[in-house]
Amino acid sequence: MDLGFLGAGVGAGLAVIGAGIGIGRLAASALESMGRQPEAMGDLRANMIISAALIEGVAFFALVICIMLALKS
Amino acid sequence: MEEIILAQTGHGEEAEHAVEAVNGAAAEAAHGAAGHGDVFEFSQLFHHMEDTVLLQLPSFSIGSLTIDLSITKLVLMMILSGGITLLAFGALARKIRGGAAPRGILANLTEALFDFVNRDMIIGMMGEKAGRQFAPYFTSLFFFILFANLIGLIPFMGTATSNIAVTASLAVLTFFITQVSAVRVQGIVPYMKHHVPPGMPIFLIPIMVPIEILGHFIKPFALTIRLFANMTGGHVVILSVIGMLFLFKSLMLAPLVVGFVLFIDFLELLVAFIQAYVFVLLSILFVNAAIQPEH
Repeated sequence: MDLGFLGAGVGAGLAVIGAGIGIGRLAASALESMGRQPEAMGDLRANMIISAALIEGVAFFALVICIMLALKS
Repeated sequence: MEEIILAQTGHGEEAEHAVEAVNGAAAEAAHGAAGHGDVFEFSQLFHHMEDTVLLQLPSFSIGSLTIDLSITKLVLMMILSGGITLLAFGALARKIRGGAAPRGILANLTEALFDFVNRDMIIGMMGEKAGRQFAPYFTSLFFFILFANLIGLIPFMGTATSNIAVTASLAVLTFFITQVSAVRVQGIVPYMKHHVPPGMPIFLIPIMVPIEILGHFIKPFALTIRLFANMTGGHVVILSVIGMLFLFKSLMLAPLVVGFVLFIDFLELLVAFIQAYVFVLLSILFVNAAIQPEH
């Protein structure tokens, strides 16, 4: 068996954990702000989605590296 | 990526063997389509992810570069989504230009979305003047991506945006628009000076300038990967869940699998909108940072 597959799997899992924590914290504080100040909801939502997309982008970079690793091994 | 998923069909044999066997099956399926035998192979499900040539056009070469402009399935999907964009909004634009109030189902359906993209996203982010200047491009971009994403959810169609070449060319367009408008608005020398922020210690310059220049290329690369991975990811999840039926060979699992696939399908519907929104919004942010550097 090739250890590359193991590495790719573990790496994908770690990347997803990081992205999950990041987006979870982001959503929690965004929802809290929306609850405190409902009139700023539209603005907050747009900024939340931008930040979520940026966090997601980093996670995707990691996933692409894992996929490359899995295809190589 | 296909190999990873396909390898799951091997029942805990050696991974290499499974991959080989499944690859053979995939090649067979590609040749004989669904016609061979009565056993439905899991790999046949991948017709949704594959790109097949529909109309072979003669390829020509310029120097050492061979250009093949054959119409494949994904090219057809791109033409389709571009055509829908043109039809839906061309008719609306002609009506409004003629002085008539937009009325009817099509107008009401498209107007709300159009207004959201135009007023909230483009003019809201870039301001009235720059917004009006860039609105045609970003609006077309949004609806092209949106329709391409949505067409991919229809059975037997393909997702053009789940091909990395398509998303990369969209991101390259954004890259060129960003750079060209930055040079045009700021002038080439002040734009180059922007890479060295004032008051930076002299020993940091050799580190910071390459990072700043690299940043210009990383932004469109991130756009490419984000759209591609999101649109591919959903399909791969659905195929993996369906693959469980083939793995366990049990009909008892069917309600669970179908229910979960339905759930992911609705999630995909949401993702289609969100990813079109994110792609265009980030493009707007990049262009806005280029033409209004003081903000």
